[in-house]
Amino acid sequence: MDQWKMGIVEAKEMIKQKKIKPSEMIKSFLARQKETEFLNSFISTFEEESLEEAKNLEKIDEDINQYALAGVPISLKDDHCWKHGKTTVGVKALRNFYPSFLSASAELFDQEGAIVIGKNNMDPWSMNSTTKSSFWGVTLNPWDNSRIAGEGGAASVSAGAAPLALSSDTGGETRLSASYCGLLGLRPTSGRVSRYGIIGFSPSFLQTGLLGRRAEDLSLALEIISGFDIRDALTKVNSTETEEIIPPDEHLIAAVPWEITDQLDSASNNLFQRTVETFTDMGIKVEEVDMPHFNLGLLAYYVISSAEASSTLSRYDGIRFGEAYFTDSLEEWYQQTRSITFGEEARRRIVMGAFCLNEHNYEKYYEKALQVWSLIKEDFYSALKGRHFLLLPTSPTVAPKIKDNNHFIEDYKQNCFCAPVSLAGLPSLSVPSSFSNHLPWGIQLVGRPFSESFLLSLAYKAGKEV
Amino acid sequence: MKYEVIVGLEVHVELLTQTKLFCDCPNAFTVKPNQHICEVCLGFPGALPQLNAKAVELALKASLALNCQITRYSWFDRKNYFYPDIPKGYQISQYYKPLGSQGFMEIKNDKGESKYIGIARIHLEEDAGKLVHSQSGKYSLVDYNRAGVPLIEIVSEPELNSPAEARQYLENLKSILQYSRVSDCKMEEGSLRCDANISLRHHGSVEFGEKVELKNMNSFKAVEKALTFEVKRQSKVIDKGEKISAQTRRWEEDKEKTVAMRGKLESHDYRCFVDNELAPIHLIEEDISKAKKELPEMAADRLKKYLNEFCLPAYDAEVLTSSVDISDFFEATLDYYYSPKKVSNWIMSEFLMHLNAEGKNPWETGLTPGHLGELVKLVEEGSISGKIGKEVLEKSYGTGESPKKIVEQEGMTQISDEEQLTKIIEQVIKDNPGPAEDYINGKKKALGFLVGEVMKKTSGKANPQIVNKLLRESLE
Repeated sequence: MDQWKMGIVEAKEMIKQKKIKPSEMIKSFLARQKETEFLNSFISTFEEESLEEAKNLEKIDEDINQYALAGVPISLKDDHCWKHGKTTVGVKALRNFYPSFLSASAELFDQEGAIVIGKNNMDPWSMNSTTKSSFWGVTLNPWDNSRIAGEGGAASVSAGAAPLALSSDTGGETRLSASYCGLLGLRPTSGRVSRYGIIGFSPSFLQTGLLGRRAEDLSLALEIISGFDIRDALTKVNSTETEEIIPPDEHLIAAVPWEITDQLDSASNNLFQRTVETFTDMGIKVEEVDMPHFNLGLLAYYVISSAEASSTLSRYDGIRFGEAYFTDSLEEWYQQTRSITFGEEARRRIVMGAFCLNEHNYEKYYEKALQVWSLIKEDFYSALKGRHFLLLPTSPTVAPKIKDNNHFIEDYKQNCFCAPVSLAGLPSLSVPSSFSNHLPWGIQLVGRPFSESFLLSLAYKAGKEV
Repeated sequence: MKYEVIVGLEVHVELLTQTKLFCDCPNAFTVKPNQHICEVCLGFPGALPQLNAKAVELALKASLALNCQITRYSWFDRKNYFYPDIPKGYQISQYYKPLGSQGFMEIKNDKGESKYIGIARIHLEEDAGKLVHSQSGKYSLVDYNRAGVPLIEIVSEPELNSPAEARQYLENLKSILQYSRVSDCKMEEGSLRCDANISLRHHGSVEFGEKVELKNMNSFKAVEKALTFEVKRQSKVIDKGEKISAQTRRWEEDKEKTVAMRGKLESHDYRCFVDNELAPIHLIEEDISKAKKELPEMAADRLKKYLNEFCLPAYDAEVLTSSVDISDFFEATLDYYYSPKKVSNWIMSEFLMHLNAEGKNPWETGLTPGHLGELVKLVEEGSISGKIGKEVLEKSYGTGESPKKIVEQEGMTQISDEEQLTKIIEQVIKDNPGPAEDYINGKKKALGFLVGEVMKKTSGKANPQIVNKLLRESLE
């Protein structure tokens, strides 16, 4: 079995046609998980539990077809609360946290018979897309082990240790990881998928995310996890596909804000231009658009999300969650506990966030950032007026070297094309576009609200073209 | 009074919802700690709040009842501070856009004139848990039953000018909120809490004096007493030419005085900002008109109606309007039998006596307004005596049976038939020649004995007026 390239649709078909038993399917992925252990892409693995679930499915035999993904393995980012193992969110404070409820989207997979084989590495609370600050150490890129992979989930799928990873995307983690590892990475429209049970730091921007090899895999996965959830006040009752009729390729219009590409290095700039040409070759008309506030997006994102971090992370005080480091005074107890268990990046964000919210700075930073937020939304909506999608780079460079970028600002800058899209709340699909020195690099297809199917079909066609 | 007294009140009330503000945990008092808790009200990582629509409805009603401007588009903010009783490290509140603002309430000033007190703002927020400190002082425990219970905070303008006015403001506020069924306002159970700000200034002065915040008052009386104490204390300080220092003071009920808690007024920077885990609250005209429609006539208006329209004595009107349940019951009874004074009499004497003895709400017994109306009618029409009426009321109260049925089943109908009574009277006179002789000889008191004998023979059902009349006639 050539599981390296296997996606969930193929895996599902093989099981349905009885070419392979669920337990054999799981075993083969578990074996690959072992082989690629050196990548450090998993925080927890569920060998026994997943085999048991596979065997239970085999017992019901024929009835197995009532499930969309019976016996299909998936991996889960460690910020999704799950029934097996701990949910650490990559942070020391939660290294022994066993949640009492489940991530809504992971549960929907579970209900369709999918089997979670492990939980993927991540930066604390998804604050970065490098895993360099993870309590569990860095994940290596399967394409080049001296480079970062982004999230553990991307390394797992890329290395064939899982056919699909359920992830999350705040400022671009899913999309950047997809770009670094040559995968498709989808951030759905805000409100399309429930975020209940995902542990994040910035509610304004947190969304679920999907990492996979093929458009049809993401289509099926998205269909499973989409929909209203009473437990997430921001999911939309009507979150299904827009009824808008999409014209054939020759009548499609893509928007490209050329001005922003000056943030790319020359190699990536060339790649981006070549990619745009591919779309022109498909018969798609490309129009240049002006997005004057796009470059402010990164700053607004860091101000607002850090402000939220300073508040969201307050609960990890060692009383109910997190590890307590007792002292005689309550104040010192808070300080000590949080200093020891948060990690440098989280502490930096808290300080930045609290600074921006301080009564003397609120207007200067936080309120300004809110204004930028609405201007960026306007930029995106006017760019998509009369045009069907937007073409953007995903990352300014290919996957950075693990030893590179030691200044945190360099890590932040990797989000410069992703964070503005998070602010806009629009669906975005990162698609592998080309290679630079044998390393993958991706572009983003950004669509109107709830146009994920269109973006995925576009990626499917472009994939055939490239 | 030498100085002008300036008081502003901050009142928190718990809303009468079934569940908490952001989760399905019951909003109910329990003694056992940490029973009404879940992942949401404990702020578990990954859990998200879900807004209780009923709480918004009640906050809206309170805002309308207090004549506020309604904010059509508002949202929740996070108020950040560390304390073990707030599970998330922030309280979800409405800082930037309170649901209601610029309202007012009418009170009577010390001279009995009408005066309007401004309501600065009314906003929705969640309650905190409770800390229980150990005897040894070595540890403290946290009870999260109350965490996430819906509250509204009602902030008055600093327009109250005496401790008595402050108390009246609170009494009125309580009545309005109880009438609107927004809160039960039980200060002793903590469903109404009040902090007061007080300062003094020279009459005619435009600037405010330094503000003192008073805490820990457990009754309206305590609020009045604490403010009275403060007026005296601050007057003395100013008399001496010294300055009042801005501070928070605690009312010590047993010592009847306020003591300084903290040197300065707390000046926290709560770093408030919008909580985007929740959707904004968007109220439409329909929500507002529906809430308006559901607001009842308030106590003050009913009081006027009872005095002027129903011509009830002031005492009756006050007792009946003191509780929305009693007032509603009274008015519902009038729909069955319109005689305000008679109905009032029955409620004020018999019904309230039973209710108070059992600590019950008027709607919780077998006696319905229809029953009471029927009962009063039976008495007024002479079908039963007042005395029998009391028995019937007690039975209906206990069983829920209609008074008419009770009277029929137990044969309690009053005997007013003169022919029937004359026969009984003749028999009584025959049996008791002594007293009859006495009466004829001028001992008028003897009549009472004979009436009693007739009542005995009829098991109390004889109409006493007719018995009196007939007895006199046959003996004279």
